[in-house]
Amino acid sequence: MAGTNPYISTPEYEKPKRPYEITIIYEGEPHTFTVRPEEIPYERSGLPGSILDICEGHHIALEHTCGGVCACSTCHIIVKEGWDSCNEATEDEEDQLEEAPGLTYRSRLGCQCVPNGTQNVVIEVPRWNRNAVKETPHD
Amino acid sequence: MPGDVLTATIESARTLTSDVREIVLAPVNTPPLNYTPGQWISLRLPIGDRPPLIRAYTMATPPAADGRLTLCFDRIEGGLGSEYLWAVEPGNTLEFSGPLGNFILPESGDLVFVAQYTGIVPFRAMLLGLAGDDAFARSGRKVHLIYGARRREDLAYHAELRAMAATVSWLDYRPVVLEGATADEAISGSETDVLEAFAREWLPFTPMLCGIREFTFPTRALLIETFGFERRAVKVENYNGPTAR
Repeated sequence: MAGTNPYISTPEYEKPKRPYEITIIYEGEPHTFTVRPEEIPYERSGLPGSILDICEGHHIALEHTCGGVCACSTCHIIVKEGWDSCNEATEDEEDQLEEAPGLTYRSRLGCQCVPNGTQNVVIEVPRWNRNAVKETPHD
Repeated sequence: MPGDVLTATIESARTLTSDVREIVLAPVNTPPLNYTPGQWISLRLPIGDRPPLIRAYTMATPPAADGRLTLCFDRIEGGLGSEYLWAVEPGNTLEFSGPLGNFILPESGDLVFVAQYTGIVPFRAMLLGLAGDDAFARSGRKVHLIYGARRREDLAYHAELRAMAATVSWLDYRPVVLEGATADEAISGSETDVLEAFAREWLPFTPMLCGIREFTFPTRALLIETFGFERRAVKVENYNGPTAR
């Protein structure tokens, strides 16, 4: 609303500048695609160029009940290769990730994880994440 | 189950401000959704290149006995989801799942709600719930609500909130606008101006912030840096994702 917002001009990730290969392991099956910078964003969910965006653009149904705005953990993915090319998780992403089942040291939210294209990437969608939603306290 | 896909019929729709609308959903063939004020549902909108387009919307009322769900949203120019919802009419149907989310009331202590624009939605559900809770009224707990927008007419639910503050002793309502404030209607300035001016006298409290990240993040930073809150002690609900390079 009022004043200068220090966050608006602060870039939080870097989109790829060159094509790279991504493999999504979904329900145990690998699906490999080439991500081309000029095709980003593929869809309208998650950060442009995020794993969720790429999945949406390639017909892989990665859950994202909040619409890809880092408000749930249903798009939990595991980065098997290419970790160093991915943007750093924010504290807010880590807060959401804590709610995800089967958390690993290579876990990210698909809507927030954006590879920068300097490495090829292999992503696994955990089987337990398929069609999972966060159970929340209610009577 | 929160993951089940349910269907609801749009029962009514009304415009609250020039770019905020409220719709009431009547779920079909399902028992009333048992949710906690502050939670949201995940709409599966039949639009986009590869539908459904998934978008989350918070309920604007506490659970109703008849199961009706009230959603409130702003119209974002070019926004697929909000443009679609803006155009829905009574009789249309929507698919959804939920409830979801952890932005809910803590069980004890005073509360400071800070909302901007449609960030008021979860707080409205909480306040309506508290207004019907005799135990809360007797508890001595206080709620301070700072609610901001550019202009007075952009404050959805303003009249209702003023009326509530006039009838319950536990609610301290501080509307704030950037333009055209009149002393009897709203404070002139920003939400953080009000927070900075009064937070020290309201301590101790649990801060809860809702709006877009460009609003909630600096507000959280103020609470951390000026008032000594731990980051996780500030409960935040964002309505949008991070900015991009």
